[in-house]
Amino acid sequence: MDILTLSLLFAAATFIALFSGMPIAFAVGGVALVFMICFMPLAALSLVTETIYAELDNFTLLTIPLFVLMGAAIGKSRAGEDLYASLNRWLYRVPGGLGVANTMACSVFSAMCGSSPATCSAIGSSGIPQMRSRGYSEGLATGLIAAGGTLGILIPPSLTLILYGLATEQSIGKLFMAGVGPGLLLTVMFAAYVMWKYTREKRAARSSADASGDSSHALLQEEHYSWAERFESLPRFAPFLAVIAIVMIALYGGWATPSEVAGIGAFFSLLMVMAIYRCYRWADLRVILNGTVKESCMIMMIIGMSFLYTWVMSNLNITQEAAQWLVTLPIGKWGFFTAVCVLLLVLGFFLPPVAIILMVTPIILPALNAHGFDLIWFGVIMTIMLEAGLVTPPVGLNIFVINGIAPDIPLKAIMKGVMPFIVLMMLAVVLLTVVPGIAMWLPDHYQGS
Amino acid sequence: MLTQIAGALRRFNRLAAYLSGGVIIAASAILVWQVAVRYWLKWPTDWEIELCVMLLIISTFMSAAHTQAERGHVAIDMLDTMLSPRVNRWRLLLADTLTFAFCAFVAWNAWEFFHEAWADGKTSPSLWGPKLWIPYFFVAFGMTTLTLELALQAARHKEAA
Amino acid sequence: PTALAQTTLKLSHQFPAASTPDGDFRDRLAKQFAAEVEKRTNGQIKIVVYPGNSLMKTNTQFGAIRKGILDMTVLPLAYGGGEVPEVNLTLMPALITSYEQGLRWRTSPVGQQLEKLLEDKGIKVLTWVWQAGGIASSDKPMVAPDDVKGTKFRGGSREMDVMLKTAGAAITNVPSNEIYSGMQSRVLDAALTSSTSHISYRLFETSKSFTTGRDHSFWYMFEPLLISNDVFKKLTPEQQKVMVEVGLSLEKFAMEEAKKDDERAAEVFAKAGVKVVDMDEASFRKWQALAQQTAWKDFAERVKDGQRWMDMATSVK
Ligand code: NA
Ligand code: NA
Repeated sequence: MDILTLSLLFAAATFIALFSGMPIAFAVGGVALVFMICFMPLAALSLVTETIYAELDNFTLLTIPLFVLMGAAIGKSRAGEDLYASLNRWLYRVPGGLGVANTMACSVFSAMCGSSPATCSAIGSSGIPQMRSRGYSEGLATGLIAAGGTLGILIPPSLTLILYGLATEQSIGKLFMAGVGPGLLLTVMFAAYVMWKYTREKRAARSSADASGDSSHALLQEEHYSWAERFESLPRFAPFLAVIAIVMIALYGGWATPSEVAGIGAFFSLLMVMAIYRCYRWADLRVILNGTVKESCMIMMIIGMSFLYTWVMSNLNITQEAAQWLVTLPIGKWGFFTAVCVLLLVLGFFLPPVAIILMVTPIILPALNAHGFDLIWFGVIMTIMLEAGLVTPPVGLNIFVINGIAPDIPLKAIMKGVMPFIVLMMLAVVLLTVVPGIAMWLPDHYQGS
Repeated sequence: MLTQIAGALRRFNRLAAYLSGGVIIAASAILVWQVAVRYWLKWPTDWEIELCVMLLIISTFMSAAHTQAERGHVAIDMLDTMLSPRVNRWRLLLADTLTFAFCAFVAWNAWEFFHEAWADGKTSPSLWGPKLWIPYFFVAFGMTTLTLELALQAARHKEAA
Repeated sequence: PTALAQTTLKLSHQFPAASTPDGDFRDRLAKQFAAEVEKRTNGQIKIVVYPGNSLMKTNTQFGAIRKGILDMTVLPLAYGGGEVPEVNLTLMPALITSYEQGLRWRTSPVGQQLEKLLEDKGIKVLTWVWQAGGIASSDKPMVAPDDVKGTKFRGGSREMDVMLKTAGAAITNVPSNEIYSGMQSRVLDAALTSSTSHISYRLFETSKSFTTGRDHSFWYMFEPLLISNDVFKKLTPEQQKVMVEVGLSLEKFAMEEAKKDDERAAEVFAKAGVKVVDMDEASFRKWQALAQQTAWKDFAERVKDGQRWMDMATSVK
């Protein structure tokens, strides 16, 4: 069987399995298993569990349950509500202020962890219900968090940029610096879109209220807070600021590695919720525990099984052949660049960012060098393309994380809600291509020091 | 009889899930401990990360069945509204059967994986060097309870279909 | 299948792909082997190289090659230490004193016993590759055992850790992908690894001093080119002969490149403004004395026939 037929078969099987209604984790695992049976030596079957285990046996990856615990402690207790109520007093005048705050929160959280699903889960578990209760549409609330979460792999520290740096022998420090500008750019673009969309949603709600006479829509509830009420809410930020301060000191003060910070954040968030919000009774704790294990198990299972899927795909050589074929095309520098971006986008439909970097980078690297691309700049472009993969169907980890946090919102609404953000990511790639300085200014200026 | 077994399994899985949650909290506490003793006391920290990795893997697998019982393993549900209820029932029965078959295979393979480590006395190559059959056991056990849970769910679907 | 049919073998390793002529030599070794074998078998054997963990995770490779699921690999053998404790001998502090001595293992009883042990476990050695290593430090240079006292040190393997712990280092276990940021934030004070990995992990960006692996190093690691026995046995006698010959012919290449990397690491660190020092004879002797009392003893007591292995190894001059 030639490689093209095999690839199409693999893609078709993936779509069928996923849309059959099988849980994502077991659908991708099942597809991998079937292709192993058909196209790989039978002995490989004895390595299934070992492959899954060996991939999970990675501390950086296993920070996800810890970040999920952190999110659940805040989101499943009164802490999250309290924080957003206080935030709202300060931001209610800004159109889409709460959405903007959530975008910022994703950015800040991304600066603490290198994982996108972790960012999604930690911010989304309180952010989504809060935005929903204030009238944001399902699509906007979930799309914003799903997309905001992808910043986790762009804003340093970033696991994918480390792997890219090792594969291309580029300075990881410079790559991290190059991720800052584009990370901020995307944050601003996302926030601007949220404000625009919010205004439109509010206008639509008003005109339908005028037509029906029913003005009970949450978006139309007029609020007013005096400065006294605002300042009164200030002490409520203190516990959160304390946790953030502990984490930041640990991370930047040389106490802990980025992965260890996950444990510190989780521990002190839980401690804060227990001490200040008095969640030490079993009735409160069980909600946090249940939420934590369900979500982290779901995410880790998808990640574990998708490694099996990745292994089979690598064994069948599909990704590598596609990249190889691309390299031989006579399409010039920018033709090649565009083709690589398309390849990354398509691979992103199915594979997680880490797998794509490991498989594709070694093959396209010589061509990138030959065409004279700056490898630091390209690392940022690649990361943004892979970010898009985290929110594109059929396999889009962030979408599934959001679905786990907000099970009442249909997947279709989340996917629709995230589309505009994908467009913004592509726009950012174009901007970075035209103005490389957005990424390169920082690393270029700090070269000496 | 079947409902009793199902009930017992559910209760056991729920307990395992709460314990898994406790294990995640324990892992976070160990990390805080590691950072503290390393920074202030300059103690060696040569086992903490490895232990945390094992604990977090164990918690993932030991909570898989409970997560499935609460339908927490996310699936794409887009066809639910597009097909007729009759077709959907058969589709979901097929999906549940396939899921069961896959997990049953992994469970069986995981016991082999455990047995090999047990029989060869495999240890981690680190200085701490714990026996590897311990985490492998929980992987196999977790996959097995997950498979049983899936079998019960498929049986119930079949009744409905 | 007939002997003339084309066989495709998969070679997996964990090292970065070499995109330039001075890229990671372990990847170049694999690629040269593949090209030479393909040429000499007139295309009967095609070897596809998967660099940088792109086919299989580092820790799975040892088990997979034993079972014949993975065809070939370039692998630090000590990674199999949890499965086959004897292989810890190949990353034993201060046991090997030079590349030449390491290569003499192949024709000495210790090497032959090692090859036989591996063959019993389903693995065949094709090219003997040794590599020296050095110590990156985020403070003063780590030369003698006294220097490591009280430092947060990543030794990276059981036997190194056993020795360093007795020297007074606080063994600090961080994942390999966090060495860089660990050194930067001073969670780690020092890390021990091969010269090539020092370069590819870019530790020169986050360290202040570097003890090279040239001249004297207590860190020599065996990372041979391996083929699964099951796979090897399925080849025709002529094909087997080609594999063995090509493997042997690359031994010299590997040694020269490893030596070059010891020099290159020194250059790269120096260029980045890091203080570069070499280990002197006296310090090496101190390490060796310490290793004898700690890691060597640990191995002799813990591993079956451990003392016999140690005696065979120390008898190679
Ligand atoms: Na990040
Ligand atoms: Na995707």
